[in-house]
Amino acid sequence: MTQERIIKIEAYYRDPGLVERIAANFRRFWLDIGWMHMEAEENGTCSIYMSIYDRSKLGNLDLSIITLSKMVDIDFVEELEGARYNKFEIEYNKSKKYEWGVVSE
Amino acid sequence: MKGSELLVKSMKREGVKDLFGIPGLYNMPLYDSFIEDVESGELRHILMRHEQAAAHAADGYARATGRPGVLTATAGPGVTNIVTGLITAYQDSSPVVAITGAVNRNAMGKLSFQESDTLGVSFPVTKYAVEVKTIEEIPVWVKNAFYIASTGRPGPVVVDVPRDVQMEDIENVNYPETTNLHYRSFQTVVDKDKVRQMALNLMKAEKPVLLVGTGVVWANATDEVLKLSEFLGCPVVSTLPGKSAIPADYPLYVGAMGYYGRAEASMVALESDLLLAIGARFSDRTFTSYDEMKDTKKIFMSINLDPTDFSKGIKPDVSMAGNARVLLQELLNDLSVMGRKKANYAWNRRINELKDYYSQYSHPPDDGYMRPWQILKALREALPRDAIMTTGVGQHQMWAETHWENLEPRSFFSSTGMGTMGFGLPSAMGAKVGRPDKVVVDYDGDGSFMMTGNNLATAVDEHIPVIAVVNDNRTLGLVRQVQDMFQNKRIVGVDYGNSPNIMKYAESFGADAFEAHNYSDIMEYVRTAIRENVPTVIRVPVDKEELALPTLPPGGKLSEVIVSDPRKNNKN
Repeated sequence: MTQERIIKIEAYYRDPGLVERIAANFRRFWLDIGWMHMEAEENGTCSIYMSIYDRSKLGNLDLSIITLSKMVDIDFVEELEGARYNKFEIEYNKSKKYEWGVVSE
Repeated sequence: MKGSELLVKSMKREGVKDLFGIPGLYNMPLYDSFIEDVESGELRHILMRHEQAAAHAADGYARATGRPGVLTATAGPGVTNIVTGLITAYQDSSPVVAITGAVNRNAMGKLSFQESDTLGVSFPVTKYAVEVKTIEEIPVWVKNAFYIASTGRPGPVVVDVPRDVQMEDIENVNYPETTNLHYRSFQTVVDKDKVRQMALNLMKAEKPVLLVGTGVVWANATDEVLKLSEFLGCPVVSTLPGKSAIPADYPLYVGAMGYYGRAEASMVALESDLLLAIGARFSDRTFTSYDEMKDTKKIFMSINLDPTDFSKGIKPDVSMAGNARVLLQELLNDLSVMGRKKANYAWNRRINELKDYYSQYSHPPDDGYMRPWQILKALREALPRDAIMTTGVGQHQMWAETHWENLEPRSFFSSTGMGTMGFGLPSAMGAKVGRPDKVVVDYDGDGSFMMTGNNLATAVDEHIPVIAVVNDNRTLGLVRQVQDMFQNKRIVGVDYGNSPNIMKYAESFGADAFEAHNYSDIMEYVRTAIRENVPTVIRVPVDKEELALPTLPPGGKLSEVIVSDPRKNNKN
């Protein structure tokens, strides 16, 4: 069975490079991201919830989390036990589609 | 005041006096703003011949001085060229600050001329990289960058400043007095229980050994390590970069252990019943097989700044996170109240047996060519005690690992984590700029030397009198020996032709050049180079069949060490 962890990251958001570095941290350990949800405040404080799982079975989950915890801009990482993900929903009226450089209403 | 002036002033507030770099369109405002500082001698700019070399020079400067080395590069190829130098510094925990110029803010993301997504390129190879978004942020991020680079586990930081931010004007400047970051330097936690547990384990152990790494260098903890070793009568081994922490003539130092380390050092580590790692991670280059180490059932203890290292490879039985110097002082205090440790004659005898046994293999006699161990012995005789040696990467680096006797802390630098060929010459230049009072030697191989050798031009132009001793065997010797020994002699893609003539190459830059035909020549030319005080290249021909020994088979265990040339005999 694939191992999964749900984590909460408290961080400082300066630009999307934060997400890039977090994703790269898990990529380097051959881990996958199941879902993620981020909320950034005007003052830069930011909470990120995400699921990471070890499809490669290299056993890097613990190491990846503790390594992430020492990255500049990360205040701390919490591993959430018994966490349940309620599917994120969004409502909208209309969309504009971008497909390989072509825009359509 | 322009942003570029503010950049210069901010750097000077951080104590920057030397800057390695190459100008281009996007860092030109910075250059324009430090002309007066360069003219007055307040700032020295060293114009390198490739940005990779600028990064290595800043790295060498940092390792030699203990202060961040600084470089500048322009956007695009300037930035991509420093990547190898940045990751080299990152792997070896060296504080480097790179100030890069970027395209104008409104040009970003549009495939503008020389646009390179500096952050995207830099994130994976640095401790941190930041884009300065407004002119007000310049002093803040320069201060932050130096703090991040030099605290915790040191490492490289990139500060990317768009050209238009450099060109903007500002009236009221607020220089920050402190940093304001979501970043913490690692804490030193003195846990008295753990100190006591370590002390008791050390007192009880019959065959203890200390494994010393780079953390000891950065914590300036050499004295404490030697006191602990003396108190316990305990041998010391090191990682390859940890060589720089321990004087080679310390009687209880056995040498650097690991893949190409001294066999006796690896055996002492294997046979010990307790190993205390100080400022050393259990890397795959030092412990080539974690299972082999675990099978020894020894007690592992670790003192390390970065607590995440306790989660890698081998989990220590007792660990303390923090500054090695502080924690060793606590340990020494605790030990001192326990009384002297009883001398363990059997362990000492065993260590001497191992030294004697392996010495018969490590000093082979001449067979027509000069031998690396004797080359390094000649260098040792000719160089002052506090000389700094850098190396390239290849066989010569491994020969230096086993045979170079550095006698002072911070006097041996090599690209050990990344294994970057071409590190030797520019890092030597950086070390010399930072420590002009020291004799600095780049001990190199021809393959590695040629990767950044064009920077000899800078050494001559800028009067940076380093001595490059180049072992010339016209081959990529370390790859060749693996092909020879472990790939059925299928030697391919490693042997060079006769070009260039290293002597003429060096002379074409205006450096002095000598060819050594024997060990006396090496000593004489080194002494001449020191006396003349000019950049000098000494070519030392070596046999391309020469091996870097000891070695292991690929993926091998330390106990599978090969100490003699298997092509000549079967004696391992």
